[in-house]
Amino acid sequence: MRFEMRVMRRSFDLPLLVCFGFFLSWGGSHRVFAADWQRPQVERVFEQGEILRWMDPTLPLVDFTVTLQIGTQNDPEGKSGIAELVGYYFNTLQEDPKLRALGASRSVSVEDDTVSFSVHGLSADRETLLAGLFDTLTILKTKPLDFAALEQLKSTLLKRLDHLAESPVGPVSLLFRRLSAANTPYQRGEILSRKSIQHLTLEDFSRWCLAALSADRVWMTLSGDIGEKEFQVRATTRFREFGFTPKKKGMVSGASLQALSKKTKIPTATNSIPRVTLIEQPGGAQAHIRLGFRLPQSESLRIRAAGAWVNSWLAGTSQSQIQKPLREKLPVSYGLQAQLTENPGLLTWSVLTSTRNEMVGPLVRAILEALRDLSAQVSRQEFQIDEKTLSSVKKAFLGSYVASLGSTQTVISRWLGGEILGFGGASGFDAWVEAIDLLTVPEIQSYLKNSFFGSPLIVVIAGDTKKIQASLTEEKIHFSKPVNWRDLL
Amino acid sequence: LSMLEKMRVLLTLFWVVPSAFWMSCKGEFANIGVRHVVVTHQLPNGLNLLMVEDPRLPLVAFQTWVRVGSAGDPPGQTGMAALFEHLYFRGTPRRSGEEIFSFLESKGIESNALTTRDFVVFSHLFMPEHLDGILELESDRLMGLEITEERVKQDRLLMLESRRLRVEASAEARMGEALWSLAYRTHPYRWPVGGYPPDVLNLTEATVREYYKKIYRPSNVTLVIAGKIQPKEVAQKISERYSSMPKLPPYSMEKNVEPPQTEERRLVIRENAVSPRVSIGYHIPSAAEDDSFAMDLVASILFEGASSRVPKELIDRRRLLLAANGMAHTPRHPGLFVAHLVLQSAATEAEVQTVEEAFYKILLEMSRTEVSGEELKAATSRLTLELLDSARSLQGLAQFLGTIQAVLGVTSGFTRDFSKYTQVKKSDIRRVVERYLEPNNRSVVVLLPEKAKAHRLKGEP
Repeated sequence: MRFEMRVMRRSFDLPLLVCFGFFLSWGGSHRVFAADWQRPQVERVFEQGEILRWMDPTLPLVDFTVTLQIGTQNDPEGKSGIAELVGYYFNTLQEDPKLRALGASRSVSVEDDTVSFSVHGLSADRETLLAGLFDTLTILKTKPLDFAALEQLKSTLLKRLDHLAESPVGPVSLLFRRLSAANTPYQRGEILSRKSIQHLTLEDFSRWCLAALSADRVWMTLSGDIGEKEFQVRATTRFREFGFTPKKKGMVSGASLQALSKKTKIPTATNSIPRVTLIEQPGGAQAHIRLGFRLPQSESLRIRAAGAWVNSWLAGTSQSQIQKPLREKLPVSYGLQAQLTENPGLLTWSVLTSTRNEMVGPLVRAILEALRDLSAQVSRQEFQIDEKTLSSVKKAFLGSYVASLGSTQTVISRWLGGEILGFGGASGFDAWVEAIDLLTVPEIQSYLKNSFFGSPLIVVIAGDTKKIQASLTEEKIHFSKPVNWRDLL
Repeated sequence: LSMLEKMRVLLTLFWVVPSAFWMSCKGEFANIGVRHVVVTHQLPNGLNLLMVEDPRLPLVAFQTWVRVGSAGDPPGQTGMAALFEHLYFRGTPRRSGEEIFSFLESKGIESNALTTRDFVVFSHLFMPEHLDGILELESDRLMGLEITEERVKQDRLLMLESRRLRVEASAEARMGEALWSLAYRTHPYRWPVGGYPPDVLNLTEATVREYYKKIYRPSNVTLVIAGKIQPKEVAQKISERYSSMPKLPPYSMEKNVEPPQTEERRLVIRENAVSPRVSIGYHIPSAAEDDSFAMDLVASILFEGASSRVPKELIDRRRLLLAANGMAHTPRHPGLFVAHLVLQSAATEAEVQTVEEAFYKILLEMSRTEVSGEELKAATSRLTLELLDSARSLQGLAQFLGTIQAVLGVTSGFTRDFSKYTQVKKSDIRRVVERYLEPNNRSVVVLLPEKAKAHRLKGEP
């Protein structure tokens, strides 16, 4: 039956896929929500470590996670891929028989800025689950790999890279990421290159494990039916006494928004011609398009809120400035997804869509024209937003925000996002809603004028490049020489 | 693993309270620790209601379940059920499609639609204050969808766009489609949920209107509402909105029994793909039969986790595969146990044969030797846990209730299946593997890489 669950994300020409960036969508709760919503309890346990407890006894389930602030962006120079390799090691070669016997699961998730070790199971098994989590973390302190195991791991990863082309939006997202995150530690994206994997050594593996134990910040979360206070105290003690040590000088781990913002500069637009890059990707009749640009970051919550509002208004809903005209005049795409994604030191806005290879030109042309018209109006100060539009987009945004907090996992991941981006832990849950609620028309106009348009537009298209080139040429859109998807690796 | 089966067992973990009795089964399930109460109700016109009050969050999940899926598509009109996922957002005489979108988006309501072989479901997630607006919209759409030639034409093209995106661009999806088509000769499970493209292009206003009249009636529909609600009050509101719809007989699918398969069926596809793949399907019982529980456990023992039998032997030890997955699909009618094996990119045709033989050897071993008690216990625990996981969100909880009602057709007595997984014995595992996973009952689709040619269908612009 699971196979039957063919989720059609939405049922109209341009589906509403408002996919706000993981971090930016974090921040608060609706005021209606705040009144009857149980708050997570946060406690600082040691210098760089905090614990979050979130009690939900409705179902007999628990999740325990330890998150370390060391992600793929912290990979040392020339050792790109080491965090991914470690994650892959834990997920494939290190199954815990005690947890398996309980039907429980354990996973290690590697992200841009963090690595998380998690266990999940029935609350009745919470003691074994907690032990399993710390047994896993203890592997970081040992020398878990020998040369043969490392070589096998690398070999399997290399073989898996061959399947990148089978992920419909894999190549287009990878290249967009590399171009939009140029000059930042995020340039690599989550997918490794062949060369970097081949050069990783046992020493790199051990060094990474040591660096992880000295991450700038460490969080433990206990959620679900987490039981009596005594158990929570035991879990806190294990976390405190595990042996996370403050970072030694010169060791790579973690990054602060402020530090990275100073280091990285956003290239400024030199002309209005977008950079269009094509990727030859096998996959039938469909081409995939990712289009967007870098944005300057701000520590002001109101400016961040303005960015989220603009994303929603510009492309995030069926009535938005890009979706509505496309649906009415050029219904050639099944969906369009708008994303605003933020990491410390990197903020990007983009849309992701797809269409037949032959229709790429008209679709890209229509999106470009919508952006150019808007940009021209903004720069000529002719651009107006009425109060009704301001209010309706706010309502839509806030309503979907509450809906997106429908599980303990989403609440916790948003809390962690807020911690990493530096705009408050649990105290920030209301601030985000207030910031959206208080936005004014002049603030939006100022944001559009001063922050939104300015960086060069990046367009990446993957598919049958012969047909795509013909279509783009017909629309007089310039493009660079196509690359093969294998060249990305 | 069969989602339906998980749902069925999960439902046994909930207290079911028919509104006529309001009786509690608390004593029976107190040890499980699940605190939901399911309230059932039926309007005189046949419309079913399933409600769960869950006040943890200020949210409500509202789902309209139409208990006819793609298997009920009229012959030559495949894709009909799925078309309604799109048409449902086009408008009624009282509101245009734009007004529907505006209403949903201005309130921040998350909406979605889904079609399977057995049902279509339209779902919303919203704050409780919008319940009246949703009831008005949903009753309006169920009673008076506006169907025009122009709208049907737009949505036909949209369906083909969706197909290109979701099926044609995915080797696994293409193989899945081919496998079901190969395994079923007469039963409508053989056709794709989204329909055959030539059939989709032939759907017209007249045929769509006729289908809507026959299927979208109270006797074929279940409403599932979960979240911050008061069931009695919601039942009253629903009665006010939906009672004017007449009582009409429910849809009854023509009896269509798939004849037993007597020999292996095989299809080799040469397509644009990175590496060879093999999909293998075996006919198995429907969700209503007890053996479906054992088949779920077989799938878990074979495929779930790095140390389950297939990954351990074919990925880790023999390094023949890059990936392997499998599950028992147990829908309303007899289903299919499916294994999907992905070889390495440089694998030859001879290695494809080696992989197949190695996989069949694992099955043969299971049919001759009983699995260990630990293996069975771990699989049972995994299924229970996955089942509970699926009900963690309001939408997931509503989907559980809706699926069980839509597929098995029951509105009460969910508790009778309680502990079916734990009743499965080691000897049952051996028996079902021997009985169902045998060579003459299998269909095999092999995909070998070759550059494919994209093509446009007649009738497309």
